[in-house]
Amino acid sequence: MFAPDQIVALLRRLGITHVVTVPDSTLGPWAETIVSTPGVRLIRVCREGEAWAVAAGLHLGGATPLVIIQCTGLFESGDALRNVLHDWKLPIPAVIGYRSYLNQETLPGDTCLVFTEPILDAWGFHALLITDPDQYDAAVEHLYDCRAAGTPGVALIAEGKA
Amino acid sequence: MSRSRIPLPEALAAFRSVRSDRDVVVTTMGPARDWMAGGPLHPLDFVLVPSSMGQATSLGLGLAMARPDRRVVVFNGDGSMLMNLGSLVTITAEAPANLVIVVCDNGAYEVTGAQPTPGSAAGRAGGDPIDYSALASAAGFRSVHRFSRLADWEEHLTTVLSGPGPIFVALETVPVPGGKGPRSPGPAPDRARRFMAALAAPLVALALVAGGLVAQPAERVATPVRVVGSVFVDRNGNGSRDPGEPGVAGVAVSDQISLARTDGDGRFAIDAAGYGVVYVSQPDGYQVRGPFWRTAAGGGADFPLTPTTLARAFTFVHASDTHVSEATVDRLRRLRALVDSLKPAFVLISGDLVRDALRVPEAEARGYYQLFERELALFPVPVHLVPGNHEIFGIERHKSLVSERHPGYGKRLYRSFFGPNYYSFTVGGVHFVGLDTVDYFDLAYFGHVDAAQLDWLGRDLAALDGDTPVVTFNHIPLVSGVPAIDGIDEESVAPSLIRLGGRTQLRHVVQGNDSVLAVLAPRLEIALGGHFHRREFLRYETAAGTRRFAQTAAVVGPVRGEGPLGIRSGLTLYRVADRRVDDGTFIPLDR
Repeated sequence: MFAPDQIVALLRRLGITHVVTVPDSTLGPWAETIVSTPGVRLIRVCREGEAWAVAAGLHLGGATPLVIIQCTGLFESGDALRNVLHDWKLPIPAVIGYRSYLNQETLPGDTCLVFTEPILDAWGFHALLITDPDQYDAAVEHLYDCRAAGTPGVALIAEGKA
Repeated sequence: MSRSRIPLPEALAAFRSVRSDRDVVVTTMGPARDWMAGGPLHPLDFVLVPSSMGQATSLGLGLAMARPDRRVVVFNGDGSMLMNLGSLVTITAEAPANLVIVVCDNGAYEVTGAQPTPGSAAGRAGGDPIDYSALASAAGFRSVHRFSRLADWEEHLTTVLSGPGPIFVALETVPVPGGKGPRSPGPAPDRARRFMAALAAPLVALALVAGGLVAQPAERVATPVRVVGSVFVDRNGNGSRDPGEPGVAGVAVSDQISLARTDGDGRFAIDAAGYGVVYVSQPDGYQVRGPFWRTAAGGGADFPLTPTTLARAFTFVHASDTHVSEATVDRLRRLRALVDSLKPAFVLISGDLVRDALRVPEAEARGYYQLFERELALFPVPVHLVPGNHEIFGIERHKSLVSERHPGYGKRLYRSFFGPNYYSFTVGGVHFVGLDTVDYFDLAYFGHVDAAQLDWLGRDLAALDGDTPVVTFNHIPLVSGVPAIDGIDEESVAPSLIRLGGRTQLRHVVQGNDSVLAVLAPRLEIALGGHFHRREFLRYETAAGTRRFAQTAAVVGPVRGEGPLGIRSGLTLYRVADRRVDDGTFIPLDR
């Protein structure tokens, strides 16, 4: 979706110090760029729920984390993000891959298309759907504005073949 | 026969008695309840109530990574641990040296009525309880401990906590019948803000002194090694102390942390807790025969000396940035030829000795080091080195593909070749201090003198006679005007700015240099640096007298004048008379 230099620019714009992630086939290749970005550390966690708590610890410690996971991991994350975002009110930003969104004709059976957006709403995320690389600036500014407002922002990246 | 177990309140009380004011303590579930009951909360207590059960270990990992200068201790329950076993693997993948995980294993979901966990004997068909310490070992923890008796926990607690991290401790604790769930000690968002403020406040101070964010403590040895030996006059030149060869009293021997003095017979003993080497600070009137350092592997370490007849007037050469590779080795040979003709008492080379070790695989880095070592042996006079940024091995991991666990990672490769990365020696009444002014954090290096080195510097200088002048030499300059002249570079592989601890800093001069200068003053005769590949001379007239800072040019180039100023390669020759060092004379390497 985004070029490596755009990913670096996104991290820089948001002042990200740590990226906490479980990869998928679209977001996973970002890891190489993230690892090679000075001042940004990539933390690979074992499951997505863990990512929110690691990010919470980083945030409490004064760092600026970003969670990058797929929507299936969002489903897995429920109780952890409830605690981090709503009990402790820590506005952790995230980039979430929206599995199969661009394959709606060929993969009508993927229930990610049914649950992703309602669940984001239910958990109180402010999500912006990104379906085209041209929306890069909008994605960055959305995350930036959400953080400035102290709310959890999500750039929801449409995945699959267009 | 029933197994002994530890009452949880007593286990926590034992830790509270040794807990440092700088420790961050995370508690959850039963441990949170009993921690709150055991005494007033500390500003750095993070009571994870309300919680997402199982996430305390992950939250602790994040805290430990954000604040590597703090020990983070997490008291977790066994039920919670079972909910997030993967976090043990994540923790060892990141390997924060400052994280301690304590699992209080009572075998039950206590706060819901003490139902057995599937890890407990009562919860398993076979009655075989899960060994959490074995799980931690299998997950990659190297410091793993298990206690089932309070007396053992109390006895070993301090030792356990001082071991290399991350540390895992399994405490077999007594279930509390009817134990209630912990109650939140106040609105969570407010507590989060107060905790962040308490944790952040010292960060500001840390950023202002030289002891802020550092990576080098990760290179410290896990366990001190006792090194004994002697410093002696090697009359027959065989390198061994033979009967009748006198010891030299009062000589400093150091592990780069502490400093021991030889006794009247030249003997010393030091518990080497530094970075795996010990060195002798060459005393005035002597030359160390052979290497001035030894690997701190235990046992003996004798340092043979040869008396010198050096006059109070002498010269020395300051060179820098040799960047040796097969393609550039002729430049180092040209330097050697100049040294041959100038006949100084010794040579200082202030870093960037090799082409690069930051971003290359081990074989390539080691090849450069070996080439430099071979060429160094050919110099006609002693050569004193300090590392530069290009000696740091592998930290640009995305390019070097070197693991942080590589035995040569960071400064370790340099030490394995050339010994201590900071040290001192005295010649002609002048005390020379080689400083390591290049620190690193994650993938990036930056100008900095870490707290351990600063403490060592204070100890080193404290032993000098009252008016002994000090010359420092190091790679990244303590003071330089070059960043102002060249401007801010945001594009190159080594941009001018770096963000650390929430602050944007200049990267190519020493941050926190005021702390270094405060230790050096008023002895500082002149401070020498390299890094910028140009001769630079700064003179400040201060209330304490003249302060001089001089960088020397690079040996590697440029051969012809470069840039609008026509910068060129060369060395600086200094003359010393009656302990005063002159301003130096630039000598181009190419005529």
